[in-house]
Amino acid sequence: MKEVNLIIRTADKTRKAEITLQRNNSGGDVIQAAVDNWALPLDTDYSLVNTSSGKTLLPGAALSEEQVKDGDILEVQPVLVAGALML
Amino acid sequence: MIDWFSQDEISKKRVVVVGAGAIGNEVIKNLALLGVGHIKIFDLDTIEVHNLTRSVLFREADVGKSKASVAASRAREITPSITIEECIGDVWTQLTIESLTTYDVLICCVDNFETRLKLNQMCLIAGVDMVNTAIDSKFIVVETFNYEKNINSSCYECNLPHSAYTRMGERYSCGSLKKAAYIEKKVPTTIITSSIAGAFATSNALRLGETNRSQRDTRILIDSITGSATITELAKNPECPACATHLSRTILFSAKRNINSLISFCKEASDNIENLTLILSDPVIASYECISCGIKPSDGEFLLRLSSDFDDSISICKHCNQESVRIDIKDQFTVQELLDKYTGMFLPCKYITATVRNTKFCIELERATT
Repeated sequence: MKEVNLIIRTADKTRKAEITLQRNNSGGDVIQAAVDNWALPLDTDYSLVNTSSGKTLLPGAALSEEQVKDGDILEVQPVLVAGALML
Repeated sequence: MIDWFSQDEISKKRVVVVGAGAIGNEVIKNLALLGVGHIKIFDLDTIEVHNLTRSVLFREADVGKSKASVAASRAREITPSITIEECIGDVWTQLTIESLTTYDVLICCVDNFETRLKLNQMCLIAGVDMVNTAIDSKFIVVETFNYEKNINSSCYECNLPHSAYTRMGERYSCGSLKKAAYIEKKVPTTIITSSIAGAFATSNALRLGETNRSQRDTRILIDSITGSATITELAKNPECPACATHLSRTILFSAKRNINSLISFCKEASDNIENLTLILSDPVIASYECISCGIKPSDGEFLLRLSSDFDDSISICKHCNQESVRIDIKDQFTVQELLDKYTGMFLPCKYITATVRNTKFCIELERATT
C-alpha cells in the first residue's frame, strides 16, 4: 500500500481532519499542509507527534520510516520558544 | 509523610537554573521551597516593570536590579539553609563545562533557540541531564533529556523542525553576523503558563515520584485553557546536528587559548594530527579583505575574532566605504591550517571538539571565570 489514512489535529484540538497521504510524505509535508489549510500562525514552528504510538515524528523522515499506520492520529504541536517575554 | 518524597535526596541535589525570568522565578521558588541543597542561577538581564506581573520573586523596588541577584536573594529568604549562587552574565561565557559536570541537572528557562542549542551542547558534553521549558499565552512545554544515564538519549535538536533553523538564520547574514536591523518577535505569556511550566520543570528535574529512574526522553505539552496534556517520547534523530556524533561519552580536557600551546597539547594526546579537524564551538572570522580597495585590516581587528561580536555592517569597508568586504567565517579548521595561517594567535571560542579513533574529545579553553 502506498497510501495511509490518518487523522490530523492541532494541539488544542480545535481543528481536525481525516486525510489520505502517500507513505513517502514526510512529517514536514504534513505540517506544511496543516499550516496552509488551517491558516496556522506562520511565525511559529511546529512539531508532529503520533498520539497512537506516543512518539514524535522526526522532522525529515518519511511516514513509512516512522511506521505510521492507518487510523493513527497525528498532532501538530507548536515549538515554543518563550520563557519570559511581555504580556 | 510522603512515601515517594525524600528530603535527604532533595537536599543533596545540585541544580543549575538558566534564566531568571517568568519561568525561572517559578523554578527557583519551587527549588527553594523544596530545600534543594545547591542552586546556581544565571541571567544577564535586569528587572523591568513589565516583568513584575509574572515574577513572584520580584518587587517594584527591584526594577533596574539584576534578575539573578534579586531571585537568589529572595530564594535565600525562603530557605536560608540552602546554598544559592548567582551569576550575572551570559551563561555561555560564565559556566564552564567542567563545573557543569558537578551538577545533577540544568533547567533551561530561556527565551530563544540559540541559547537552548548552546545549553544542549554543553549538557551533552558534560553528561548532565537537561530540562527544557517554554511557554506562550496558552501552552506549556517541558522536555526532559537523560544525558547522564543514557548516551543514546534524544537531544533538544533531534526533534527541532527545519523551520526553526530557517527562523534562526533570518537573524543573521553572511553565516553568523547579526543583522543590524533585525527586530525580535515578542511572545505574550502569562503567570498561568509560567507557573505550570515551573512546577513540571521542577518536578521532572528532581525526578519526584520516580522510583525506577526512567530513561525515556519526554515532552509534556499542556493546554492551560482546557487542561489537556500530552506526554510524548522524544525520538532520537540519527542525523541530528548536535548528537549524531556523540557515540560515546565525551572526554573533557582544558587547555590554553594560544594556538601553539593548544596544538602542543593535541600532539601530546595523539600522533599525526596535522589533518585532524578541530570543530570550534563558535564561528570565527577566518579572513577579511576588501575586494574593491584591497585593504586588509590589522590581524587583531577582525581575524580570529568571534563572528557573534559583529553585525553585518562590517561588510562595508572602512577605507573605501563600499559594501565590498569579503569575509570568510568558519567553525572548522585542520591543525595544519591553524599552524600555517594563525600561529601565535588566540582562539576566542568556548571549546573545541575533535573525534580521534571514534572517541570524541572536548578541549575547553581556559578562562578566568567560574
